Formats: sequence, structure tokens, C-alpha cells
Amino acid sequence: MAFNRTILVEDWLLAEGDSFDLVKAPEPPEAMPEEPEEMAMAMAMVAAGGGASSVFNRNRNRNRNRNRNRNRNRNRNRNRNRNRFDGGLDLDSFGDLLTPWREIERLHEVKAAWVDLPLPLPPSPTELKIETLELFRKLRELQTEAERGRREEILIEQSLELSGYLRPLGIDGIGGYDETITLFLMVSQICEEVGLRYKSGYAVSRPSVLEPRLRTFLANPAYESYPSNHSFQSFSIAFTFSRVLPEHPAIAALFRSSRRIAENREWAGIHYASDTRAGHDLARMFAPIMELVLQEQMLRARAEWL
Amino acid sequence: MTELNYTPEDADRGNANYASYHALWHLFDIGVVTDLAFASEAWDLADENCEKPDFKPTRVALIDVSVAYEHPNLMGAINTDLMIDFFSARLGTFPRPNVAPAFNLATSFLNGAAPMGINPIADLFLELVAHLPGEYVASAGPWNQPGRVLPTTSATFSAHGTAMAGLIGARPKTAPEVEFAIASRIPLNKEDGSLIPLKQKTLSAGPCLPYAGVDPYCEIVPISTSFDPDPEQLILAMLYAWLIGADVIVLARDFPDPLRSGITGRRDGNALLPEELKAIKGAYPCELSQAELALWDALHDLTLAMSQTIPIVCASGNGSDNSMIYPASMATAPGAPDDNGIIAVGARAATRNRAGYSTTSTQTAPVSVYAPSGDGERLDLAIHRMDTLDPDYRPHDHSVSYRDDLGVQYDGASDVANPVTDSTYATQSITSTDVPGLAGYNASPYPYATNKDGALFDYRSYYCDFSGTSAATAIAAGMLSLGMTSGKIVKGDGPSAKKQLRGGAAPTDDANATPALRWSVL
Repeated sequence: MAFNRTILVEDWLLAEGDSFDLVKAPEPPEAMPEEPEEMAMAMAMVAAGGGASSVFNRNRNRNRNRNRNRNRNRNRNRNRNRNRFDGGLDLDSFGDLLTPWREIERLHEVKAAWVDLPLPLPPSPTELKIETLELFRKLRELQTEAERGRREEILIEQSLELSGYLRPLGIDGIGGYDETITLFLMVSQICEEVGLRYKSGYAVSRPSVLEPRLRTFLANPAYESYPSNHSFQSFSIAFTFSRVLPEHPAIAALFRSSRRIAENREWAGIHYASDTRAGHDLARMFAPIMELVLQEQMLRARAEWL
Repeated sequence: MTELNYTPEDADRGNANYASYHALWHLFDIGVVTDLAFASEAWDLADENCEKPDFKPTRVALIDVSVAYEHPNLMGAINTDLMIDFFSARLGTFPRPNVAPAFNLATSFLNGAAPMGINPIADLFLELVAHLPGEYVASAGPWNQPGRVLPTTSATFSAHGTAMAGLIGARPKTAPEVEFAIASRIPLNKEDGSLIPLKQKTLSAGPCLPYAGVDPYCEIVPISTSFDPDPEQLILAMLYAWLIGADVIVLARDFPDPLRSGITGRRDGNALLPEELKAIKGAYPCELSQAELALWDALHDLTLAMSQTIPIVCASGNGSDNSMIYPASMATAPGAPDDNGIIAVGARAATRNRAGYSTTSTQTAPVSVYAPSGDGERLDLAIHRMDTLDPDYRPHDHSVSYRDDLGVQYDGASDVANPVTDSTYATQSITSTDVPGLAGYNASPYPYATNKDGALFDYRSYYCDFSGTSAATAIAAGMLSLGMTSGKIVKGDGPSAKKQLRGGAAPTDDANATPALRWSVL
């Protein structure tokens, strides 16, 4: 269908500073904003629009970004999300996060949309035993010098530890990304509740319960195996952030880091590969709920990057 | 006491007095529009063609994030019936299925056979074709059906896709089609309680939305994806584009193939250098399974095979180097023995220099064409280019050895004769459609974009600055689509479309950002 070309001739959209202006063409001088109120509004919009961006397709003002980053403090609270419980406890600590009651309320309002996601049923015990063979290999390799780094990661990742997500994004230990960190904590907290509900329904035993000869690196957590909540949380952070800022060039690296954190639970001998995969699939299917429930926090996080 | 009378030496800085510019400057730059009467040979030809009874709009498959399809300028441009999402549902789900009883999805399946027979592709194609019709009906049902997966397509998080779609095919909207709501002004209240009314605000123009994409005749089918490095999702997205008979595929993103994304632009034949592969594998944080590598291989073969018939317009990347993102890095030079329809698009600033960030040709893959976009700052041995109008630009931070090379900047008060050719840094970005309200690239001071009657509070937040090779890719895809709509480019031949779009087989010149996208060479 033909479109109306005349309107392009009669009126112009102009880019003005960091905002836009609609004017009559040819542009008469009196068409420009001249009243102080209009000018003030235009200026306010310049401030709200914000042209600077650390995102690669908006890199108009490199200078502004550079200075902004330089002026950011080292994150004074960088340890606040670390586990405060030493030893073999498998506890999730949500640091200083207040319970996101509004988001949780919304989560429950749309419960019908997530309570029955088509997650496949867990493998049968016969198939799980075949998966256990891989765990024997991983546990053996974990004790080699090559995997020393992974041993340390596994211990740190027993509790919620965000550096595995912040580092690929380039913001680990840098201040000024508090809303992004808060978002990740909220994602984790919501996943914990949803994940426990799914686990309870399937009631799959941990690998070393089915096969006691498997000497695990970590003690078995108190809840069921399928799906892996570490995997669900880890991939949910990646899926959610990829909605917040798909323009970030390290999104694939974030997903890979999430995957390593999820798979480290297999290396520790406390999850099957099928648990990890189910956690990933659940995170993927749960993403539309997350972007609804956490919309406001996601926008706050996005604003830190634009 | 006297006040301290001292001005710091570094107080000298950019004054931010940017000149304003026409939001559609890029349409003039590529020759689709030739004067302020909006004379356009291309649009004239398209006007003629679209009156013909057998006219079928050019179908552009936009594999990207989701699109805010209710944007007024995108009404009529987006085929919402076929719009699909692969983010959350493995085999796809439909965000806005057509509930009219006469609509039958299967009639849109223009290609009934898989594009190639290799195993994972053919199997996934059969699975997809079997799944979609039932899914279509089910996704028209209520949101709270048990056992279903919803699409991840909230308009709030659709900025990139919305900007891409607008550049390709936005339609201008006239006054009868839009309604603006203008906030009233509260009168001043005097001491005695009487009021002084303030003159109410009026618009200087409109109400209308005079914005157009390159091909305002095309239909865009958004195929939304996540950035999970999952080859299966990308295969299914490509197969869907095939199934619905897309004429153009737009990929302003990379395929995060672990073994095909180079660190540098050096190549060993068509593969990465062995030492690069070794470095990438050694640093890979997970164990790669044979199954996933096989799927990445299948995606590679599928993309090449499909590009023979459907030109695939790919962003070359914003890395400022020559590594080029994959799959743009598969683009061949026209006439090469293994010529394909992969079109790698670089960015060319309004100054007609290569944009500072735009990735250049690899050892084997030339940038196919350079299209307009915003510029980027660089300060290295190769390029000195900075925005000296930026308030954060302080001349005293820089050495006199290169400071004068940073080039003339112009502003509203400048007496520079020709700012476009006399500047080294282009201050023009690309203007495109944006998610209105708080979301998007350009946030509105009004959290909601419209009132309850749908009238616009703030037309400004419907537009944004957009840049990068993404914007260039959208403009090149729009041009390709317009070439087809106007009858200059034949549908169904990727390599020929590429050759025509770049105006022949002349070699790419990255230093001068040529061949440039131009209507006149089509």
C-alpha cells in the first residue's frame, strides 16, 4: 500500500541535542520553542534522554562514559553478597536485599502462567545411573592440578556469589551498578521459591544417594535434585540480563559463565547433567514471567548502562 | 575579602552546542530521497508496483530481539500474524496470533521442504512444521492455560528490535491517524486567591509523525531470539524465515559459535588460525559436546545454503578492528567461486568516513557495503577522531602532538563552510523508532506514553538515537527490500542481490568506506 509522502514534506522531525523536535517545513523561525516552559521541558528531556551509553550501538560519547566510569567508586559493599557462613552449609544468602514483596506478590498473581511449565519428567533411575558414570569421571578429574581453580570456584559458589556474572559484564568490584546487582539478587530469590516447588514435585534423589560409591566433593543439600536450582538461578540471571541489555557485547560470555557455574555442581558430584539441563530449560521458559514480575527493577538496571 | 578569581586551566571544554539535523538525513545520503519535496524514484516505482493486483510486499525476516509492534510508525509495517518468538518456547510461540476464522497459518508456509537435507536440519524442520499450526491456535487462548510457555516479547525490552524495524520499514503517520495529548498548565495563584492563567502550550507542528523507513512498503516479520549461545534456537529461527518465504533476512547480531568467532581477522583458508582456535578452546569455560558442535556446523551450512536464495544482511560488528562478527565473516566477494548471499554491512558516518567503531574486512571476507550510521570516537595510531563538542572533551587532557588533528568541530554558531566535509567526527546519529515511555533508548519524562484514549503525551519518546553497524544493517536491509519492492532487484538470488546492492564487484576499500550504499547503482 502506498504511504502518505506529503506529510514528510510538510512537517520535519529534527534531532535536537539528545531529543527531537517536530517542526513545520520550511522551518519558520517562530516554530522553534520560544516560551520558557517549552524550553524547560525540552531541557528536561535532554537530561532524561541521556545520549551517553556504554552500550556499543550507542557509543556517541566515549568521553562521557570514560569519565563516568573513572568517577565511580570501588564498590564499598563488594563483599556484601558473599556467604557469611563457612563450612559445608549449602545456604543461599541474599545479602542486604530486602524481601522483594511487591515482586513476589506479582509472581503469585500470575502463578497459573508458571506453575505448570512443560518441563520434561526426570530420567528414569536406569538412565540416571548412566549419567552417574560421567560424575565419576568429573570427580576424578576435579582432584587433578588442572582443575584446582574449579575446586575453589565450587566452594565459593555454594552460596550465591555474583562475581561469576559481574565479571563477564565488566562490573565486578566497580561501583555504580547497584540496581543491576539488586536485580540479580531478586532473580535468584524468585528462582529459589519457584525451583523448590518444581523439585518437590519430582522428588529425585541426589546422585550419591542412588549410587553411594560416588564420593562427592560437597555434601548433599537438603532438597531434591531435579531440576538444579543453581542452574535455574544461574541461567535466569543470564536470560533476564539479556532482556535488560541485549546490546552488551559480552552476553554470550555471561551465558557461558552461567553454564560453568551450573555445571560445577555436576563436578562436585551433587547434580546430574539432566538436572543442569532442566534448570536451563526452566530458566528459559520462566523468562517471560521474570520480565513481567521484575519489569521495574529491570528498567532501573538498564538505566545504569545507558 | 576578595573572592577567589581564578579559572582552572582545564575549564576549557566542549560546549555541547550540537547543530540539529533532519531525522531522515540518511535517506538523502543513500539517494532514496533526492530533495525536500521528497522526490524519490524508488518510492515512485514502488507506488506503481503496489497498485498492481498481484503485488506482494517484500517480506523481511528480522531475527533480533522482540519489537514494540504497537509503535504508531510501525503499524502496517509489522506482520503481527506471523511474528514469532523463540526466546522461551523451544519450537516457537506466537505473541499475537490472528484470531480471524479465515486465517490459516499453513497458507503462509511458502516453502514446504527443508532447505537442505542434512540430518539435524531436516529433523528440526519437520518438528517445526508439525508443531506450529497447533501452537498458533493454542497461543490465541488465554495466558493462564496450563502447560504452556509464554513469549518473551514485552515491548518494554524491545528497544533494539524496534529501532531496527523502524529504519527498515516505518510508515509516516498523518494527523488523522494520531492524536496528541498536550498537558495543560496550572494557572498561577495570587495572594487574594484569584488566578493568572498561563497561555496553554501549543505544538509547533503536527499532530503527525513524519518518520519513514527506507522501504515503507515492506512487511517485517519479527523473529525474536535470546542471546543464549544455543545453536538449535538459531537454526529454528532461520528455518522459520525459510518456511514463511522471507525475501530478506536481517541479522544485526552474531551467532556465538565457539569455534567460528575469531579473535583477529587472520584466517587459514576459511577457518580461524590454529593458534587462535587453540587459545579459544583453552579458555572455553565449559566442555563442548560433540552434539552441540554438530549443531553449530549445521547452522553454518544452513546459513550458507539459505543465503543462495535469500540475501542475509549481517552487521559486520562494532569492534573497531578487523575480526568481524560471525556470520558476517562468511561474506564473500561478488564473483568469488564460492560466492554467497551473506552481506556484511559496515558503518559510514555522515562525514562519509568509516565510522570509528566499524569492523573492517577480514583476510578472507570483505565488508560488502557501507551504510550510514552514527560515528564513534577513536584515539589510537590508526585514527584520531574525537567529539570535541562533548562537554567531557578537555583540550588540555590531550597532547598538542595530535590535538590539532582531532579536526574541526561545528556547532550552531560555527562559520565552518561545510560542516559535513570539514569535520572528522560526525555528530549525527541515526534516528529511529523507539519504545515509548520510560523504556527504550530515549526515555520520556512521562512514564506512560499515551493516555487512556491512546493519545500521545510525548512524541519525542517515540524516537531515539541509534547507531552502530546495527543501524547500518537495518538501512542496508531496507534498501535491499526497496530494491525488490521497486522491481530493481530480483527476489530469490542472494549473490546477485549482494552484487547489485554494492553496485558491482569492485573491491571493498575500507579506508574510504566504499562501496557505499546508493540507490543510483541499483
